[in-house]
Order: sequence, then C-alpha cells, then structure tokens
Amino acid sequence: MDSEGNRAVGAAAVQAGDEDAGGVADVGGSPGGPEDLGLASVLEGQGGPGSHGGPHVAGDLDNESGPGSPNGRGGPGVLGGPGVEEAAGSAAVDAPSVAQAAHASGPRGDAAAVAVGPGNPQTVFTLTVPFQFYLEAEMARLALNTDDQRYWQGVRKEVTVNGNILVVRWIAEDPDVLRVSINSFFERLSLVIRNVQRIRPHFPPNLRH
Amino acid sequence: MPAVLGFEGSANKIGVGVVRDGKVLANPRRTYVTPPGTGFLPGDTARHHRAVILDLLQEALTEAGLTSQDIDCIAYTKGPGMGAPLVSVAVVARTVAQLWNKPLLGVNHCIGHIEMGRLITGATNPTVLYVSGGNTQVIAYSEHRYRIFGETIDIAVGNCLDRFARVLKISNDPSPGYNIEQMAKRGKKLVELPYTVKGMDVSFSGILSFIEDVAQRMLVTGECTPEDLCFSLQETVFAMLVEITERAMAHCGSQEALIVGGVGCNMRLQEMMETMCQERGARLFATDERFCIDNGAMIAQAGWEMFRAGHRTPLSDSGVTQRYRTDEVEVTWRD
Repeated sequence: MDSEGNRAVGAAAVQAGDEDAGGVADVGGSPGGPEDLGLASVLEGQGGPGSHGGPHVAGDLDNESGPGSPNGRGGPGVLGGPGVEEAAGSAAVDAPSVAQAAHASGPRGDAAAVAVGPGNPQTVFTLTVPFQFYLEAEMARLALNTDDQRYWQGVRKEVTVNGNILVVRWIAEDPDVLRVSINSFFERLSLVIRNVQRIRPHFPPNLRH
Repeated sequence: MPAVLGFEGSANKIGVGVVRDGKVLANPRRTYVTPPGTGFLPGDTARHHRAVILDLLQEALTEAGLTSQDIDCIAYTKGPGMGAPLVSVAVVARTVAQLWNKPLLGVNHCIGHIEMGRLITGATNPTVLYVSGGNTQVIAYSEHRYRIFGETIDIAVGNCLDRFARVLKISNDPSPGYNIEQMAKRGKKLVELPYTVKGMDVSFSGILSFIEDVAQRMLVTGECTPEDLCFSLQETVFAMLVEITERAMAHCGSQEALIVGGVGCNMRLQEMMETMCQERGARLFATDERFCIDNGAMIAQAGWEMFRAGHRTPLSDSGVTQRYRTDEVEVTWRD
C-alpha cells in the first residue's frame, strides 16, 4: 500500500462526511444522555495481549494512515484518525485478543501477510450513527445490511440497532480492504439518509421508540 | 390495476419508471458518459447514480402524476450487472419500499428487456436477440423459462464495439455504439475480420484483439479509414448475430424475432435481421431507443408481471448479484 492510496481513501472519507454534513445535523438529533454521540467512531487497535490496543499499537496504523489521517479527522464528526480512539469512550468493543508479533509493522510492511501465532492481527472498527427514531435506524439497517458484498474477502461486518442508534462493526485482517469497505458503506449510508430526508416520514408518536 | 415503480442502474444508465396496466406513465433516465478513450468504472458509475437517483424518483412520480399511495410495488434490478451501481440502486429501492410500506420485487435485467419488448411491440412468442454492452444472448420462451439458445462465450457484442471505440477515441456521447454506427455509414471498404460463430454461440474477444491490432497498422499506412473499420466491424459482428438468431429460429420453428438491448437501436443490425426474417417469412420486432436502452420502465413492467403472478422479494432476500442467468427465473406469468 502506498501513500497515494492512503490519501485517496482519506479524502473519500472526508467527502462522505461532507455529503453527510447536512444529513447528519438533521438526523443526529438524538435525545441527550450517554448515547448522544453524534457520528462517533472508535478505532480499536490491533488485537494484542490484554487487548489494550493502545496508542502504541495504533502507531502502526498511524504509519499506514499517513497523510490521510488528519484529513480523516476533518469532516464534521466523521471518521476519527486512529489516534481518536482514546477520546471516544463510546460503544467500546473489546478487540479480539490475538497473539501478536513483537513488531507488527503495519501494512506498509507485510505483517498482514505473515501468519503469526494462532491467528493474524485483526483490526476492529465500530461506527455508531444516531437516528431520530428507532424505526429510521431499523430501516437503515435493513436497507444497508443485505448480502451485497459477498465479494469482499477478509472483512466481516455486523450491523445492529441499539435503540435509535445504528451500530456497525467491521472486523478485518487487511486494513486496506477494511478502509475500502468503510468508505463504501459511508457512501451508501449517505444515500439512505438523503433518501429518508427527501421522503420525510411522519411517524406517529407511539411508534417512535 | 397495480402501478409498479421500477429502478434500473446496472450499467451506466440510471432510470426510474412507472408502469400501470401496460401503460408506461413515466420513464426518466440519465446516462453516465465518460471522456473519449475511456470506459465507465463501477465506483464512479455508482457515484453518478447515487447523485441523481432521488431526483429521478421525484421526476418519475411527477411525470406519472402519482404519489406514493398510488404505487403498489417497488421493483429493482437484482442483476446481472456491475456490483457497485447495482447495490446503490438496491439500497434506494429497499429504503423507499420501507418508507412507503410497499412490497419489493427483485427483477432480472434481461427479463426486463424481454418483457418491455413484448409489451411495446405486441410480439406473441418471438425468438429474442438480446444484445447490449453487457449481454449477448439468443432467447426463446419454453415451459416457464426464458431458455438461452445461444450466447457469447466471452464478451458481449456491445462491449466489443465500445472497447473498439476507445481505441479510436470515438466519443461516448450519447453512446460509443451510436457514434460507430454513424461513422460506419461513411465506410467504403470492407476489411476482412475473423468471423467467429461457434455452433449456437459467438465469440467477440478475438475479433476485438484483431481489429485493435489492425487499427494501429492500417490507419498509419492509410490502407483504410476509421470509417472503414467501423463499417467492417459492424458488418462482421452483426452477420454473426443474424446467423445464430436464424439458427435458433429454425430450431424452434419461430415466425417472430424480437431485438432488445442497447445494440438493438442500431439500424444496420435491424436491417440485416429484417432481410433474414423476410427470407424466412418471419416478422421482425424492435423498439426505439427509449426502451432498447436500459430504462426503469422495463424493470417496472417485468415487476408488474411478476407482482400479478404473486412473486415477492422479502427484504432479507433483496440482495443483488452480478451473475444472474436469464433462465434462473421461473416465468409463472406466461403459459
């Protein structure tokens, strides 16, 4: 993976975010409280002993994100760079604990290609998207979570709804594939949000929760 | 009297159509055109579709004079086609179906062409030549299936034409095939090209390699003009298509032929097919560019037939697929 690839993907993430900007502002009107996240993201570091996946491991991801990463942070509440994880404090998911090589050099090297121990290092990315009503989140889940992406090898995606929040969790071995999957998901999510806005549903109050 | 809304976006055309009881009430469409010498890539095509699809939906409803209440079913292209564009369109179909609480129907793109061809032309039971940028098949209906009698064993005829257009940097606006057709009319010399019919099937990738090679050489030496090459390519590939269609017609004892798909707009192809049909005492049917070229109404029409026959696609099963054979669908709406 080269820096060109990084930049392009970083930019794509921002674009999705920009497209979303209006949409997110509208849709993100969730009630206050601990779930009031805006478009937060948590990037867990590669699984390691104790699954701290802290900044040390994220350092590898920093390398890989390179020039893209600051851009990735720029969009209004879009993808944080890998360093944001400690700030998020939301929908935290334990990274799978996987034995890890002493220096996972990140995709710039070929750590991903090297089998270390019982499993390869994996990257987990969690995205939470608050909608105004549970029904909207559920609609988005059904629109976005069909088996369309059979051809993406090596990335697993789980889409669930928690109250009025759409929770998407990616688990992948190859950060490149992960990044592409996340970006294309954002593009489709943006489409769903715009679609819902254009055809503003009027849900009766008793169906809102 | 059900009214069906249809979404189509499997290649570079994105269309939304409304059909009710055999009448096309709306059929707006946009085409993603790339610069000369280039083709359309899945990601960019999907981006184009995502940008315009909601406007097209609005246009379709306005043109049809209908609201969401009047629509009974949402049809969309399940496949075959390019992955990213198919997915982007399906996402909107699913969202709209949920927002309006209407049943969904995943439609086979090829069957959409056939059903629209049957509706518009009134052909009763034709041998169908389906030719486009993505597909080349000879199809005949038998016992609840659209059976494929012959097809390309590699690339579609339209793909061969489009890729040749790239070599000559012919404009893609409105489509490369259209511009090749216009240039071919000015061709004077027939350049001999490989003629590759394989039984009931055809092959185009060898012809493409050959003509790409020839083009470099002959245009430099001035042995022929680009117009001559366009003319020669059309004459060769269309003759091949006529041959395999005739073979299928002879096999089925068919008195009707129907051309569908974007390449079906080509008047030279229609002319050659007409000659063959007349020699056999058969009738040729074809549609104009509104319905030959990918459009939303053809998906709506196939959806209308399927809806009335009781087909439904549950949300959980509403994925898309790049490979979807025409004969995979059980055609329960015909005897």
